[in-house]
Amino acid sequence: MSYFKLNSKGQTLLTVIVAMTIVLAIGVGVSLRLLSSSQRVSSTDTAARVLAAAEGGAEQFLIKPFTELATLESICQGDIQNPAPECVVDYPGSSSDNIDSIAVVKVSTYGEDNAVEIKIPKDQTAEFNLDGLSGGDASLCWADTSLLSYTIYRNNAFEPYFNGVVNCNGCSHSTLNVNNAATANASGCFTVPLGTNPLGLRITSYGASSRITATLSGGRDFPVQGYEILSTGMLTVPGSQEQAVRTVKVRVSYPFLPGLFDHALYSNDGVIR
Amino acid sequence: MIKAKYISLLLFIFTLGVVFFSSRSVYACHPCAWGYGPGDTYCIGGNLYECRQCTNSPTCIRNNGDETVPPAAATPQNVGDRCKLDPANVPSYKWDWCDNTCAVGVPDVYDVIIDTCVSCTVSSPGQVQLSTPDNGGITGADYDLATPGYQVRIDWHSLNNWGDSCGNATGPDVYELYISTNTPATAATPIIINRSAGSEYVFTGTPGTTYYWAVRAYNGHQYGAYSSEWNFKFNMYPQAEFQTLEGSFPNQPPYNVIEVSSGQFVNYVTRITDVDGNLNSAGLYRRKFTYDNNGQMQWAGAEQLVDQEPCLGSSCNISGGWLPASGDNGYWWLYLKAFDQTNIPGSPYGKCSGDPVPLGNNPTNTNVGWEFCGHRSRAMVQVRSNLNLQGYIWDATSVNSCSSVSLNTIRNNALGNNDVTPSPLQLRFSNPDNGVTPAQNWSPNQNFSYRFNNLIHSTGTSTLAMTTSFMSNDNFRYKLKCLNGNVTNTSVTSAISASFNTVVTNDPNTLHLGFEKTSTGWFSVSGTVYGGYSTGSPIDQSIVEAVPSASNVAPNFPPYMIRSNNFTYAGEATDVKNILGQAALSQSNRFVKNIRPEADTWPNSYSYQAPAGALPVPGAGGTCTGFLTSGNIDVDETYVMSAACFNQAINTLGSNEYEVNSPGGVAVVYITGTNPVIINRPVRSQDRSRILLVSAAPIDVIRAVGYPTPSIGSRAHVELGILAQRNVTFIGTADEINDPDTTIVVEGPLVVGDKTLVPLVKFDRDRGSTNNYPAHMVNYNEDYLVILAKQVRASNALNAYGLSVVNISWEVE
Repeated sequence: MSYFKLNSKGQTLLTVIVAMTIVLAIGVGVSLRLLSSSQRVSSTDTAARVLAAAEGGAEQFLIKPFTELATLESICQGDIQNPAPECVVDYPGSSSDNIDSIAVVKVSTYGEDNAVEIKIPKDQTAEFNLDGLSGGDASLCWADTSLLSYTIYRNNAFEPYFNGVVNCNGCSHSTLNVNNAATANASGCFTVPLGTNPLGLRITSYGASSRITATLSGGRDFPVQGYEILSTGMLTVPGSQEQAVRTVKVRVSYPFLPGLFDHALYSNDGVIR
Repeated sequence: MIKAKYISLLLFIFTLGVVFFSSRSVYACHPCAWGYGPGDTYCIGGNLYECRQCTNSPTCIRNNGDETVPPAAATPQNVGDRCKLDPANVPSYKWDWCDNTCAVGVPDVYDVIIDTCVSCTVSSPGQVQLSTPDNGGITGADYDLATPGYQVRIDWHSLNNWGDSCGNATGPDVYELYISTNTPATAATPIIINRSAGSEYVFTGTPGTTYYWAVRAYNGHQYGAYSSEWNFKFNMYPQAEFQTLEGSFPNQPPYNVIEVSSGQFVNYVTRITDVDGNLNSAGLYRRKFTYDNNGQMQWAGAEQLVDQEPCLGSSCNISGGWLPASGDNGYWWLYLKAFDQTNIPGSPYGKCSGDPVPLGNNPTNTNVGWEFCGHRSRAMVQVRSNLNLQGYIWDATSVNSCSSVSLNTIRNNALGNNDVTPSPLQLRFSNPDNGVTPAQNWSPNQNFSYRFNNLIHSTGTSTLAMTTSFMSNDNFRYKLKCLNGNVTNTSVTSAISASFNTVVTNDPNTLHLGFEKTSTGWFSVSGTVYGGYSTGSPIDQSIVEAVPSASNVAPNFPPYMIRSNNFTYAGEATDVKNILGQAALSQSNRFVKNIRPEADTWPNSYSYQAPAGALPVPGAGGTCTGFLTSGNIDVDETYVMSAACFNQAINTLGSNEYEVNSPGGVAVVYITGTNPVIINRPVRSQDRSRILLVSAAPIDVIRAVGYPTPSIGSRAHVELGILAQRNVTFIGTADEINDPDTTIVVEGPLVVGDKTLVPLVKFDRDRGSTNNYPAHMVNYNEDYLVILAKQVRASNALNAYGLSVVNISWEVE
């Protein structure tokens, strides 16, 4: 029979084309998914890098003497675009990881305010700097179930220091046995007279941690309590348009002596007899 | 017939002769016949005469030949003169004859007819039979005879056949005893030829000698045959006596009584001897006695304690101890018996009569007992019962009179409202016989405060003593102050122990005790005190202090641990009180107790290591010897040196004061190693500058530094702040009574701390009787805080002194 006689070779080509189309479709799909994942990994890595840079920058400044921080305060004003070299902490990449990161650090003092907050872990001592003040009172307020002992000491050691113990208002302690201590008022506050030439107000928190806010009478501001180190971490990839940053803020108080210096006789572990 | 008459006549004459010669016929009104004395009877002329003794002295007159006619008064001169007798005594005849003496005043004899006489026949007496001692035997030596020596009682059987039908009418019947060291005893020279009417004789001889003896009888006319001859030898009875005999008590009057407690031995060593070596056995015996209401001894049966059998030869010993049982209380005799082969109890028991004699009041004589017939063979033993001692004890600190138990008696809480909480007070009882008992706690469940059971009685000095562990428990010194009870001869002055005599006479004996609390060396602080917390269980005391009462504290010294008005802080409880039990933390009694610090709280994590930039001494930081005196100590620097180096610096200091380059500065000096820093002299600064010593080494402050009479303002001997990882010791006396301490004054902060080493501040000083002053004064100097804080802030180095901390807050934005 001779009707139309078709060539069967075209069928093979069509089959190939269809198969390639399917493979291509699958490959494009997979590629698109991989690209999306890669973008997310890059973003997470960047965040970690910049946070690490920020933390590292803060730590680098924490180990500087306070005299140096005082100098850096005027230099490191927080200009991220054009920071002074003293304010930059570099974390250059390596051959296996050529991504550079930096921390730009801002140094400033803190605490020059009428009210200052301080956190004291249980059984530990912290100190408000009172250097430069004279007279008036400080009101201390806290809302924790702790017992506070305080000591005001002065520039001139011949002047009597002042100390006492204040119990929280309406609270109870599971273990502490207290006798003849003062009690905070209904607002959870008590007042301490500053006296002449105070140098520091030292507070030890017994029984629990404390978050204490101190407010000076007469609207006065506290003197500098220490330094605030604001460290901003960022990547420095050449040609990169991405400017991811993380910031760490650290407050470090002026150094002070531990609580045992408040005692005439102190035995940390043994019985005194 | 005539021949028969002659023969009859001859027979009559013969018979008459026989009668005349064989039985003498005599007649009355004669002096007593020859050979007869008062009481003798004899026949004369058919009459039986009795020879009598004139009761009155006769008045003799010359015989006028007529016995019926009274003689004329005359003075008798010759034998045969008649005597005028007392008519009352001579009823039949008024006259007598002067016989042998006829002297005025010499009693005379006479005979009177008392009966009709019969004819007597005379023949030889029989042979005597011997009795004792046995022939060939041995005999004992008695001690109980009047004559000392070795004596024997010789016996023979009484003779029934004396050969004279009229008894002693022919003369007295007697025995003749012959004793001789030779045989036959009747030979030429016997020791004894004794004639007596009795059938025994006590012979004194020589021990070990053989004696021969025989006896024959004599009836006045004829001798009997000799008895058989026997022999004997003296036996030496064994002797037994105590060599030593000791009870458990010291020898006390009366020294003849041995005293022992039941449960304790009466120890003895005896000696049993026998000269002639024929011992057989020996024994030790006891016999209990009591006294009745009349004081008479009532005896129980004898019991043998020791049967030493055999006990042969010439000696043996009994030694050992008698252990009275609990039921043996009372009085006893202990005595010895020894037997030889004669089986007769030896001397002194069996052969000795009479009363034992106490050996006398000799306090040095340990061999007490009784002497019995020359031997110490008996002892009187008193067995005393074990007794109990109990009583109340009360706090007599504020009691002036100890005449009665006070209200604050320590006793069972359930008994009343006046009880004192039982304390760890302990007592020990001791006497020479008990030794020292274990420490005795209170007996809170009994009706007394203390009780010692089953004590051995002692006549020696007894002692009740407080135990020292109690004293160290709360820094009080406890002394027994007074005794009260049914105990005699007691007295006590304040002391740790009380001694008394004759403690136990009753059971139980009651002895109430009063104790007094006084202070040991105490410390006084100007500033706050923090006593630490340890994880021990049960919870400990963080601060323990005993302060004198207000009336006992020296003027101007507050009677409190803290002189200032500060709080006291403690990780656990505190026990700070005065001797009256009143709180003595501080006048305001302000405290915070039971603080539970976190483990990482400073200085728990502190290493006491000098910071990296510290200057070593000797070296860049200077020399050891000149460190304190060169004036080159820079307050901007931190130094590190060994304890030995710092000790050299102190020794070089002499009486000078140390010098720091900045008046009013504080230099920090780290001490390394574990050898102690020895502060043997005042270490003072020439100005307000100070040294803060941060020491890994222990620190010892010796006794030589101190004030005999301190005041509140006394300058510190040690002008150093101290932070120490190991003990800080204020060395004290070992004899606060005879060598009391003085008062040491130091500055604070005085700090010790290490979670592993758990160091202590050891306040070991004790002023003894002058403890009205504190033995230790700690004066807080805030310069260390103020000046060092400013130096820390101003330092160009981070934590240049290794001591500062900062407060850090951290936020991530």
